[in-house]
Amino acid sequence: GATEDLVSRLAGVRSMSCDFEQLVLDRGGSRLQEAKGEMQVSRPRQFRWHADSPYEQLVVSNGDVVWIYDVDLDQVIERALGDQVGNTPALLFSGNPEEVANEFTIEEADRHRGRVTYRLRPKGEEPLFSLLEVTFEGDTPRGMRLEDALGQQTTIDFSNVRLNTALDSSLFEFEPPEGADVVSEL
Amino acid sequence: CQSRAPLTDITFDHPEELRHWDISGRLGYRTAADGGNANMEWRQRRDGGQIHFSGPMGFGSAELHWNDHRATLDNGREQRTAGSPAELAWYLTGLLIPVEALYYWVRGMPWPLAHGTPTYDETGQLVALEQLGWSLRFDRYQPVAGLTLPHRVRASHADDRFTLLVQRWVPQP
Repeated sequence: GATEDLVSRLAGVRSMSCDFEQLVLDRGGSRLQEAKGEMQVSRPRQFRWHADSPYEQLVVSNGDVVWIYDVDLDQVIERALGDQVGNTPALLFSGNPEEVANEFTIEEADRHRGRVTYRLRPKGEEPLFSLLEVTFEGDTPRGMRLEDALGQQTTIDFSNVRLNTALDSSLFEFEPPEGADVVSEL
Repeated sequence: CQSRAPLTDITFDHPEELRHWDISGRLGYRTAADGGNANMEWRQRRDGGQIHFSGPMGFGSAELHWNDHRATLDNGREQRTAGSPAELAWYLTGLLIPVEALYYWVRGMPWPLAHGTPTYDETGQLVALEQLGWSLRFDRYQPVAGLTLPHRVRASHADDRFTLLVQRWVPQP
């Protein structure tokens, strides 16, 4: 069924690097924000999300710690990386695929011209987002859509996707720059 | 008949005249114990204000609404109400951000309802201000609708600090 299908597609992604375009809409549908950048993901649980516009933001995880660095604010937040995809969608591709099946009810939302979209609804209470959709074209992820409890929608389109290439582990390490305001929640 | 002036053509002579807007920006905050940052969309209208906060990757949002006598904070799971937005800003950030004063500070003006010690540069732009116990610094002035407005406001008070970065101003009629 949809669950097994998604889990096997996710298991096929050992690493991924791509460009992304992210659009955030409020529940009324008006555009809140657009961001563009690059993302790299590598099992287990490592990811790098570098938005370079409109603000430069960098989110990096080595699998244990996640750093959120806002360049313009010169502020770094470091916290333990939970194992919940519910808190960090980037874990969808780098977390344990079976974990995704435990955390979400999964159904096939759409199948159209070689693209399949899965709809994931968190089973736990108080999830950070109430709905997550992920679209594959064959075994290549094409995009995600998240809806949070306030009805805010975030769509993320992936382009220039390269799957299962070797990614340098230094991509997933982060050293707060000299003088940055480090907020440690470790 | 002549249609309403398109937004881009509105111009002002003094920041005091610019009362309604959409600001897209970022808020960074820091207390002794905690800190964080969020994307911020501030819609200020005649009947009140609304600030939509969202996390770095766009989700985990919360909305602060206020008018003259009531303020609510909604994160989609629970709603909190209070007499003033400052109380709710405290709940969200741990800082009592005086939103009513921010309404003036963001335009590079002291809040008229409290004593303040402003410092202006030679062009008359507000560069520093001591008010409500906060020491504020204003910079990155850029032209907006006939005015020049600060696009960064940094405020500190003992261990607490917040930074407001404005990325885009859109005046509203």
